[in-house]
Amino acid sequence: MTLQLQAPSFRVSISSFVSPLRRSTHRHVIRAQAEPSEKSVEIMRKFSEQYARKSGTYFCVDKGVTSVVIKGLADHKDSLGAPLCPCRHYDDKPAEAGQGFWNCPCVPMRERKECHCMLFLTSDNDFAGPEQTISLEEIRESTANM
Amino acid sequence: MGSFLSSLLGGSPAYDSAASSEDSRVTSFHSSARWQLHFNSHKDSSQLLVIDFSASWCGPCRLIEPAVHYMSTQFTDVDFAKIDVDELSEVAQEFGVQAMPTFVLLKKGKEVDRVIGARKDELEKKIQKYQSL
Repeated sequence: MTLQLQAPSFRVSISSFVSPLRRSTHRHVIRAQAEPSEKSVEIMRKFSEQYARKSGTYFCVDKGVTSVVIKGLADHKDSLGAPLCPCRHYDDKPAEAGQGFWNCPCVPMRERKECHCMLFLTSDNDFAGPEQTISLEEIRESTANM
Repeated sequence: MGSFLSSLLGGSPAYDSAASSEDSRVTSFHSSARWQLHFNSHKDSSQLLVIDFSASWCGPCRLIEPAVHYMSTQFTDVDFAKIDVDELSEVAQEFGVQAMPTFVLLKKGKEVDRVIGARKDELEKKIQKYQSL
């Protein structure tokens, strides 16, 4: 917690020394999310396809949404060892991943087919597309500009 | 695809235009200190402040982003702020944010309402309701 509180003020002190142009570049670098490993992305991609079929749900008509969530799950798999839902905020991520309630597929999804992240959509959802498959290429393309 | 999504979001094709993102009045905060300064200055104003709590790998956040940018160009008397919950975790905690996206509407530093999820129409209605109150 101490580290988290100190980090932002450190960023401020750094950015105050650089020109406005450099500052915006610097900010961009800070914001850029580390890419999850290709191995984890592939694991979560396959899992998503299998679970969509198993649960009778569909991917979002905008595969960019699907891609972002799959990468988020892969990122958590890399950093926490479990695919914790990337669409929720946790006070303590490792504790939450250990507890398991929000590890994908989360309890609300398993019990009621409720996926707040819009990864698995029931066919009556306005955003549900016709597909239960997504390729690595689609994931790469739709997240290329992030 | 884009226009189809726009129609689903219930809105104007302008959401798709790259210009709407460039013209956006949404200010992103990356440090607690800067956010605190902004928040404190807001307390003395009667302007509506909308905070968009999002995360990098959150699909619904990405889905509603163009609509939020567009709203920021339409509601020019409303202040739009964006906070990444992983960057400013303590701010997200302070506002009790659990699911993303969460939009918190504030007047004079006090929460008047919030919208959870990519609910564009609900967000737009609430902004309209509170902007002139």
